[in-house]
Amino acid sequence: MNKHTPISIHFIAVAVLACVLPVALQSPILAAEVLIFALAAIGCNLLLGYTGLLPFGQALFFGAGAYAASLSAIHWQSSMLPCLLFAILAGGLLAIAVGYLSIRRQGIYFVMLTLAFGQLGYFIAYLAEGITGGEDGLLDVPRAALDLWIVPAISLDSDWAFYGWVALVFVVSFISLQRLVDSPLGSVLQAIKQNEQRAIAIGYQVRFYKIAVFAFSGIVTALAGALYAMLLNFAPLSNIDIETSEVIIFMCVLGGLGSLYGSIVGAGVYLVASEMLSDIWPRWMLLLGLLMIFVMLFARGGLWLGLKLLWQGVKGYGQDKKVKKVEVSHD
Amino acid sequence: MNMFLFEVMNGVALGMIYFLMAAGLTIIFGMMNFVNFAHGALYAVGAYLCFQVIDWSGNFWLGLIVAPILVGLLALVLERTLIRHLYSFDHPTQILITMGVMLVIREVILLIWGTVPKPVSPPDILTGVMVMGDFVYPYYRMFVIAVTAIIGLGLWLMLERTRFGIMIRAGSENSKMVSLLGLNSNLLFSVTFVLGVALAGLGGALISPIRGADAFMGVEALGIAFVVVVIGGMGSFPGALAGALVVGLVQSLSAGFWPEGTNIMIYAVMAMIILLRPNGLFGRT
Amino acid sequence: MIEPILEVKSLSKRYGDFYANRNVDLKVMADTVHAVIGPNGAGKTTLFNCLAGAVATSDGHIFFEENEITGEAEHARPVLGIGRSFQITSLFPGLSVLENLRLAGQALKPAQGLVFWHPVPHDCPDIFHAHEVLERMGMQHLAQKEAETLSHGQQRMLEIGMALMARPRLLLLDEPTSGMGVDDIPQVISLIKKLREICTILLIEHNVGLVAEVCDRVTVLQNGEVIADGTPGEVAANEKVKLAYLGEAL
Repeated sequence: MNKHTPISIHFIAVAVLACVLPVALQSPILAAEVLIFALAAIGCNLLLGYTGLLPFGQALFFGAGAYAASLSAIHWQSSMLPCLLFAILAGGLLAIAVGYLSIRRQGIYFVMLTLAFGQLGYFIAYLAEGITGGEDGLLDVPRAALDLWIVPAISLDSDWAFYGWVALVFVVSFISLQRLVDSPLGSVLQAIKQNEQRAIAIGYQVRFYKIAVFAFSGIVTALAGALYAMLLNFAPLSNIDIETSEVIIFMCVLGGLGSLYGSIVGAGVYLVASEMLSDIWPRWMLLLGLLMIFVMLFARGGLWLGLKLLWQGVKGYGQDKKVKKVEVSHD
Repeated sequence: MNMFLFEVMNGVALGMIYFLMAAGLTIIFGMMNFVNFAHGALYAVGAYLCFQVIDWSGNFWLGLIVAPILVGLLALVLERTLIRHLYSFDHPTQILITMGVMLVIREVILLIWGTVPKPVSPPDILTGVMVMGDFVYPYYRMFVIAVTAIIGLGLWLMLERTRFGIMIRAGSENSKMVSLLGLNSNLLFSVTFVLGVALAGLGGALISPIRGADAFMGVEALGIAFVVVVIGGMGSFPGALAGALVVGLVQSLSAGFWPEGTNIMIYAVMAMIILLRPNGLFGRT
Repeated sequence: MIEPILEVKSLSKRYGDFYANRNVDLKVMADTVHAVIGPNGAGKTTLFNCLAGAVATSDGHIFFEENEITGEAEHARPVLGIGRSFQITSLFPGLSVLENLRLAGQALKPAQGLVFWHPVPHDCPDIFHAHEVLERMGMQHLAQKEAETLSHGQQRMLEIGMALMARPRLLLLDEPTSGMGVDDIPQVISLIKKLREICTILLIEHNVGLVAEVCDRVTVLQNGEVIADGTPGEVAANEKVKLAYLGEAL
């Protein structure tokens, strides 16, 4: 457990992935979407996979990030970094508030509280037409330019330039969060997930840690929402609805609980499948449901575990050895 | 004034449908400590089966009776193959797996019946409106209120007076008690699950002439059923009835002046109840 | 043996009308091994939970090293110097033995748990300490095994080890031999004898042999009240105690 993969390896892995992805998918837009939703799934994974809390209102943070960034881009013509900063602030503060209230209850009651706050956010956004555009959403969101003050501002209007920026944000976030889950704080989250009662008994103020992980989750989810609005030039109301929360959960579970790489796989498979399959066989979600049941019953490691098994199988075949033990919980 | 009465009656009708959903959820939760997120999807199945039976037979009454029975059979198969292995899991796991079930059911509905919702007409005898002075109300909705009231009364009598009901209540007080009493808990769990889901199926069948059969109708209904159950107290049968009527009335009464705000209020009330009175209004402390 | 390290003054715990503990007085002297015994349902575990802060007391006071701790939160007590083990083994099952212990050590330094920007260092003091604890228990070879793969006896030992990581001055052991085979009990006895060198121990135990062999003082509870208090010999001769246990035997 104390032997974590060095951070440099993680960096190389995700950097290579970020370079290969748009080429492999033959679309910078789809690739950007994959990385954006991977961030959202990672936000969910911090709560569900690492701490054992099932959040049913992640769309609230996603939507808040989208609105915050869009509003500052539309009304104040903010450049990219301030836009994202506003999104992070909005998502982080909301998450602290939701976390603070929700963690007072457990099990189904916790889930219902996060759902209730998510729904409240949705209806407030729906009603606050003057600010959020209500049902129509916020239209004509500009892709804010990247202005670093020391060099001339870089326009992100082209899809490739925007993808580059998304990839950069993704790699930085991923590395930071990988360090977080390997950190002393991350180890406490694992302890809470494994045995909350014992974590309290040995002296951890569990409530504080849960609020902290909510804050991180809110921040990364809001970041994803902000980038998504800029990708689409549009912040739809549906960002904040219950279906978005569900999709984020699906991606997270499908990819694999307790692994940040799993969330990339989950987001990738979900988006690519819906892109490719929805024309051929619109009922592809049937497979998704079956896969979800299977993963939760037999393979919490999800598709990422599957990939690892496959890789070890190939390697093992080469070495003419059988795979004996697979590490599931950690990367 | 009569507009007000009209809205009250609508609220009661709506509330009674919610009650059917919520009663099923709550006895399943009370007995097995099981959270069934597929409940809404099974409610939709009830509506579609009702449509299908009427389509074949031309007889509304047959549809209304057969649909919940078929939904109950489906529940039996589900319970025997999958659900019974989930009782010992924690709530998040139960929720995630039944979300998968929900997705599968919804997609199968769409595969069989297509993406266009199916309209269902009420039987001739129940079409039209009742006129009493200047108060006008559709017969079918009166019928819904009457049927659900009878079902509710029957359920209540069953829970209070029969051996099976005593076992269910014992089980929801303390699931260990069931095995202590030497009862066959496997069978009891199956029966409870089937009964709970069949109630959802009946709710779907009953509402189909009002709203039609729609694959996505379960999502909203599930959310509201959970709100109802939480407000009334998880595991409490009278709580489900009271909670359902409160939600139904709030929804239809505020529809007149602030329709969009209704949902805010419902979810805000639920959040407040969980935080301030976690056992609900009628739950055991 | 002069100062009480733990003093309980007329502690009561009520559940509705039912008293799980009523007016319990208890003095645990420093550097002793003190046992709380009593028939089933005597209120031993409730008393323990009050001492550990897992349940709130209804009435009375608890002093630890002369400071009142009655209202201190459960998670604050290990930091004060009170460690506890659980009757029903309660570990982090999917984590390694070493990580179980390290987490228990880290808990005492709340500031360290806030660190989220670098990995857990391989050479942090908690890991050294964890190895020390493992050595004391003769379990070094199990350091990297997952806790859930240990035998029951080993899990019970790890349970105590986690409490030790807090370097407690008072160690609360809730039935340390619960569910153990007869063969494993001498191991626990020798561990307790070693531990008394470094801390005061208060334990709940059913195994009479263990109590007689390692304890300096015994308090007997029945129906939530103290019925006897003294050396093992005194208590064994007490008529009320005999009657209480006779009642249980019938």
